[in-house]
Amino acid sequence: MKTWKQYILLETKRMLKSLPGVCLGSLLLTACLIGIFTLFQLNSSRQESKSSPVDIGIVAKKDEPFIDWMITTAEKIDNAKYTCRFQRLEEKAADAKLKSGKIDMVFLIPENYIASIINGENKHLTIRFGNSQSTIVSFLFRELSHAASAFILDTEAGIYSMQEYYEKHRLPDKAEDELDLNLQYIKEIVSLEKGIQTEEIATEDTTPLFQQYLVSALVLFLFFRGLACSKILAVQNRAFQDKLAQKGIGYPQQILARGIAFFITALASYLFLFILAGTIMAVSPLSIPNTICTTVRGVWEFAFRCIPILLLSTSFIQLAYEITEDSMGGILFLFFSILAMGLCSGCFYPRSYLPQALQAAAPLFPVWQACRYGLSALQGSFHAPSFLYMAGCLALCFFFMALRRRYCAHIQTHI
Amino acid sequence: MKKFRTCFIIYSKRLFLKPLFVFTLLLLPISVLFLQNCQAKTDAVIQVALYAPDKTSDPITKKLLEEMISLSNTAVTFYKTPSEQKLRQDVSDGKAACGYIFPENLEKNLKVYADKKEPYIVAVRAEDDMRTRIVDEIVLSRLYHPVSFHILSSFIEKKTKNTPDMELLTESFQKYSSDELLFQFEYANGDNNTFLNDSQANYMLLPIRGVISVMILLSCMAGGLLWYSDANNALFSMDSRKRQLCSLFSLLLPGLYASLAGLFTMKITGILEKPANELLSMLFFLSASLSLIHFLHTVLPKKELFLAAIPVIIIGSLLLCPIFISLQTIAPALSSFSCIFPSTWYLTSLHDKRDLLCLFLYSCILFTAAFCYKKLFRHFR
Repeated sequence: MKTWKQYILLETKRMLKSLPGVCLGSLLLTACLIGIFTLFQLNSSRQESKSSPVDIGIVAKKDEPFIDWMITTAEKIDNAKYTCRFQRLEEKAADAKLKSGKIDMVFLIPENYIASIINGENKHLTIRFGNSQSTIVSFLFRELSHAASAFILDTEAGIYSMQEYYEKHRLPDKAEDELDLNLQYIKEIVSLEKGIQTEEIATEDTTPLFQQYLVSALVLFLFFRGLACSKILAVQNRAFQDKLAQKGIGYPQQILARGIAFFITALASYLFLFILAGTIMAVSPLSIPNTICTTVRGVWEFAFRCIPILLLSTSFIQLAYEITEDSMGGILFLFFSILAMGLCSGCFYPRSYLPQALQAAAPLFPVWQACRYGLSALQGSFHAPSFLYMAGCLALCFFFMALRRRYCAHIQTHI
Repeated sequence: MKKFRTCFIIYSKRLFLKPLFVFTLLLLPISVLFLQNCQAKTDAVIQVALYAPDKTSDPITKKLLEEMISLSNTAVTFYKTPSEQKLRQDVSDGKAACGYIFPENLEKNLKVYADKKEPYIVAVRAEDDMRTRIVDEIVLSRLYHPVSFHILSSFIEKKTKNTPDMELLTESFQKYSSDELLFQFEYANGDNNTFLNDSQANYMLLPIRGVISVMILLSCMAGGLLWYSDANNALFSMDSRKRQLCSLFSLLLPGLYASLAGLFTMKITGILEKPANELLSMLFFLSASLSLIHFLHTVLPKKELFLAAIPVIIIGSLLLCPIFISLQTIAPALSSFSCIFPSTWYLTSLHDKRDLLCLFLYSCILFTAAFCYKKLFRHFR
């Protein structure tokens, strides 16, 4: 027992030597995360409507008829009033604003567009997003274009049917009535929402998206920190392990000792992270509303409640380096596994966006359970099922590590 | 040349003798293929529940519901619920983003709506946000088809002061109706946006290119660790200038093989657009990653500091670069920091030649900075 305790102390001392570098990395990352958080808070306090509008640039030739009228009409559509802002621009100015992010998309109206709709030619209108890859937002906005196509084409069908009917029945005032019908259709499109009666109901999951992302960021941060730990968790050579075994420290005790030492090291940088967060909160008006983290005391209570997540992350990281036995492979494997678990657990996209198969599998992943536990901790409560799952994962990690060491020792003995 | 080739082989052998490195490279295309195939036909970003009384609904209601369900795609999926309670339950549980309850006699309600503008369907939602507004417009666009017909018939009735010939009107209306798409999508440089122009595109593949770029960067960084270790390894310690150039293979080769795995992954999943542009962007990105790691290796003398920089670079890339979300719309001020990471330039360089130049300049600046730092450091030593 005494030898084992000495071994824990020596391992801890060894690992703590790497602490300054890890703390520096933590400092930079914390600054980055707090920057994002501050801007989110400033952004949400500046907004007047519930969601920020999408800025759309309209590009058309100067003498293109009806464009300003189209913009005014589109702005009157109930759903567009709060979600879209239109501005007419030159093509170069629109491209420059698109690139700089001042506008979100550009509509390129072809020459004689309205005339082409009237005569049934139906020229295509082009929508330009930025040069970076498409995101979920642009993906959803595409659906609006399908809806707009349906509005235009059904209106056309109505007008052409009216024209044909008037021709067959030789009815008078075709041109005036066509204009009347057009105006009626446009008036209808702008106020279609009147046909829907809205009913709002309470949901079971009332956690704001921002809190979910905050907890996900903390969990991923704790797991990804393992990328910096390849040196301190490098597996000792077999001869050293055997020597320790001869001194009475068996393989499971060796693993447990390294686990405790690594947890103490991780705890030191974890506390450093919360000292930074607490300091920033004390000197600025930043806080996380509707959670326990509205005061410095609340932040420390949250930190204390999240220690089981730290324990889970340290055991998972230790397992990754133990089974890979190689720093390069360990780093890549760790990154890959954390990213995959994070994606499937709703850390990047909300869980409701994921395919059903992944949604069903998400609760099996430690990252999902850690996020679930963290969300409860943010509300000052304790989520027992997640805690028990994490405890089970922890035990499983140590079991696999011990099993692997015994297996390797067994192989070596029989070579 | 022979020495470079020998070095290349030695460094490659060292890499391929690490089974986990090879395993991770193989895991990349396998896991992306799995992600691509785990999406069922009913999976979508937004799930919308629909309800209409099955037995007592009029034909137009049944037809509308079937039409909406058939128009489901990977962005919005419609499905039927057996009862109103189930619909409300699904919305409350979060299984559906919103739901719509259709009346039994929708046709009659639409006729009344053409004159009196009274609501004809009920929308059930938990939260009024951009998603539900988008779904509203989609549902209204489907309902607009019968609404526009009723407006037409009502208009002709008022103008002629007679009941119109409904058979003729219906025939004409069906003849002129169309499902054509009047919009097409492009990138800012005018390239066709193949992803958005495909209504069945798999949205789970959206971040894959970005993730591959971060994986390549991480592989280069992992190679950087070997560079630190080689200083103590007699076999790999490099004294002469040529040998020092060869030591760059420690950084280059992991990134190169990760790039090849990434390109292969993009090819088999159909994300690869123009092979020539992709190869060029990948080459420049690899060069930018090498320059970044080389700079870090020069500036950070200790391996521990370099290791501490790894999560900073990786998490920074995942958060700030437009891989999962674009910070430009949410926090434009912070998105300017994304220029520090080569992944940002890589993701935009495919459709903008100027960003390829930026990647090249990025590499030059960092290589020059590392060179100047080394000279300065030696001078003051």
